[in-house]
Amino acid sequence: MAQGDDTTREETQVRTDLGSRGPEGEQVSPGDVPDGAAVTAPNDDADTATDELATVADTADTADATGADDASRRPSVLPPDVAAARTAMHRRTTEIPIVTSRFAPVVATGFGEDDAADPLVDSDAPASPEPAPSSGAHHRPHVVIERRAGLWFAIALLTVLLIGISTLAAYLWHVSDEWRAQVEELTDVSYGLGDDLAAERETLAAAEERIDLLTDQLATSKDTVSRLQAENARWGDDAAFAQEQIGQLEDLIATGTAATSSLNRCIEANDQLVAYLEAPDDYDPEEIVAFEESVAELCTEANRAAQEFTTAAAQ
Amino acid sequence: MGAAGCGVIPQAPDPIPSDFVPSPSAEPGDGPGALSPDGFTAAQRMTVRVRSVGCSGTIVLSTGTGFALDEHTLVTNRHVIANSKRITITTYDGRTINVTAATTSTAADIAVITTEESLGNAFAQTAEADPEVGDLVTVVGYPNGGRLTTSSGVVLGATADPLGGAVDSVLATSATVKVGSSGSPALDEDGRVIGVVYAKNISDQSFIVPVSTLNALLEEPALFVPESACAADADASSNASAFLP
Repeated sequence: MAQGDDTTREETQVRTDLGSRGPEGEQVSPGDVPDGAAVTAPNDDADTATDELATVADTADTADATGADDASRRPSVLPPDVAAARTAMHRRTTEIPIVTSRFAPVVATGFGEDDAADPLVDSDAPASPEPAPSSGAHHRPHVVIERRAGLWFAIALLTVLLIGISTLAAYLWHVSDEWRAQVEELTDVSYGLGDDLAAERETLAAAEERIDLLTDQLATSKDTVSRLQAENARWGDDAAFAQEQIGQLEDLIATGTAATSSLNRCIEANDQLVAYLEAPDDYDPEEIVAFEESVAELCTEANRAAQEFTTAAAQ
Repeated sequence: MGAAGCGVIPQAPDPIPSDFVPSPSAEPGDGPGALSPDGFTAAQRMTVRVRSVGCSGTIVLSTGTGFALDEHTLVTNRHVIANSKRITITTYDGRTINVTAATTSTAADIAVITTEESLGNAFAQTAEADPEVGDLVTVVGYPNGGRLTTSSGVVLGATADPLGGAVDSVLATSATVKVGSSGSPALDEDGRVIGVVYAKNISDQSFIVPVSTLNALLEEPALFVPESACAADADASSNASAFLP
């Protein structure tokens, strides 16, 4: 893991810083380490690391068991190099403390990568036959405690991260469910709209067919109305013309009737004149002449009326 | 960081809107394609057929066209009703209406007829200005006294009255008209009256009294004189061969 690698690098750095000094504060190199101290490489022998861890555990147990007595036996002032290392580690709170000294060599591996490198405390481990130097006995418990704190801090951090990731996952699951539900609902709505659209299209197609049919019928009806209107107008014209003809015929009949009447009167007057002339001794000759003149005038009018009738009839 | 994180983290969907389908806003009968009550256009419904019976000894029966200005008033040509003893109106749907009075103008070949019975519910809307050269013109009338017919053409331009009776100039169009089309409304593309057909020439060009003259005459009723039954109309008789009775 990347985090483990980072931790390993930090541990290596810290160990290098710490391991580069001897117990007395002098600069030492890995190949110039005094007896009882070690600056180990990350892949040193596991047995050596186990022994050293046992030594650390023993020291921690001893510190736990003795409690205040040990505290009273520990020097009240830490050696300068240990104090400097602790101060440096306290300032870098985010770093996992590394147990490193010439008394407790540490394998520079990340937590969980190499169990042999973890600073386990083994209560059953036999106590170190050799008592640790006084300065190392005071240094080991602090390193272990700080390493435990780092472990707990890492666990707490992982727990928080796990809770956060779980919460985020739950939230995303919920959001995904809601989106899925909405997609299903939208799909239903879409199918519903599609059904409605199909139905409306069928209705529209039927309506268009009916409209076309009605348009044809309307055009036919309009044509019929126009034709009937024209015929009606023609008939009206014919009726008006006939009405005019009737009026003219009525006038002609009236003229003919008048002419006929005049001619009848002319005939009657002529008959009367003939009777007068057949008995001339019975009448005054002057009266007969006057009657003859009036009959002639009457007949002239009758002839004129007859002529007018004839002319009108000819038109 | 928090805002950016919230922006990255997907949010739950909003509630589905319920207004997928908007409400229809169009009403039946809106728009240019709206149907009339009986399928005839307003121009067809306002156009009437005019029959005139002459006063001479021989029976003279002529037909023309007119259009309704309102429920009891229509416009036609003066020569259509001149020297007539009886005028009869026939609507597009065959109704026959008798004329109660008629007035004519000497300034143009225009006559106004009033009726007692209603002419219908479609009336003419006159344009405010004369059409321009090239404008589309539609003539609706009863050519030869027959069926209601529509013909189209364009305005050819203003010209002097070929019959010499009009005071102002008239408009020549390419719309084809026939005997019986006299008094037909000439309409623009919006269905407004832009003139009244009154004559034609041998080139099948039609002549219309422009709407400016018509509007001027309608605004001055004093310019119209009553047309008495069988009154002599020497001018009309002298130009009878050129008119479209």
